[in-house]
Amino acid sequence: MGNTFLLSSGTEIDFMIHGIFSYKVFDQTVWITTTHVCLVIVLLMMITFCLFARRAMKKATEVPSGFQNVLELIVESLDGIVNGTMDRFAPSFRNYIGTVFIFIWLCNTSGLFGLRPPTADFATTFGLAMITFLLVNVSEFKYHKIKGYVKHLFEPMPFFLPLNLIGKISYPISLSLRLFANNLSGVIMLSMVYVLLKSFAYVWPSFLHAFFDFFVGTLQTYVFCVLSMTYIKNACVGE
Amino acid sequence: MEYNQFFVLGMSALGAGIACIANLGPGLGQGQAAAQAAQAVGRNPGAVGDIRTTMLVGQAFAETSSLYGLVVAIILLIVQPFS
Repeated sequence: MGNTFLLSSGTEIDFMIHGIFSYKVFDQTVWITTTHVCLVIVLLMMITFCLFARRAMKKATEVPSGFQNVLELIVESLDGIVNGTMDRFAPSFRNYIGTVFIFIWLCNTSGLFGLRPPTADFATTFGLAMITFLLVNVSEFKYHKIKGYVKHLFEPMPFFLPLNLIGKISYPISLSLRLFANNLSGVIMLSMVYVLLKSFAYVWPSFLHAFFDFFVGTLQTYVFCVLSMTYIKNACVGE
Repeated sequence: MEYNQFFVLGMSALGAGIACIANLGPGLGQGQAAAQAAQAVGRNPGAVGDIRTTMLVGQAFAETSSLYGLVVAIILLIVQPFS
């Protein structure tokens, strides 16, 4: 019983993650899936871009030209986003937010190049959200010490402890589910168009690609970064 | 009542359909946000860029609950936890 019952005509809509090969680790089967392959491709793109950027910045000039212009534009706009939200705490989180922004944006828009976006897999987004969750807790420990951390759990009254704990746990879940579901809905829509309207899906799906992969992808990247920054800043300041 | 695999499957499909009612609220909310943004642009045409950014981010947040409905529907249909 696969997902064939979604359609009575027998053509199969295919938007799931596929395993490529498996191996055994301690009696458990570990699968290398399409997500891993797409992730590796995205990472290779990132690394190549970074190597070129490093070479361009080694012979940087006072008045930027060509490729250096593009690099300065990227770095300045990322810095602007972080500075606008975190002001005082911006310098210590600039690297993390910038890296995450570029990574998620490349993952989201990789649907344009025919890959299955790696962020349409819950494992990827949950991993990203767990990093933010870790940073939130670590910075709260750092700025308020153990006493302040425990005190925040019992605010405003002692019996609010379970509610505060649920609130803490909901951070990574809501962050990761938002990113995951947005990308998954795009993948499902496009695969439906390509399977159900197979006979006349020729040029116009590119507009759907522009919307689902590019527009929604960019917007959700921005939302993920803004939410991460807000959570971290709230943990640093402590209401 | 007879309880077999097909009954569970049909009920899962019904549940997935009902889960998509979650799209009702965010649709209303996003429309409201767009209407207010249009009003704001009418009052202050100079701030179009800021208003657009704020509106899009707000709508992306409002979309979240409808996406939870989508996730529930997909889990019911594809993962089939009850069969």
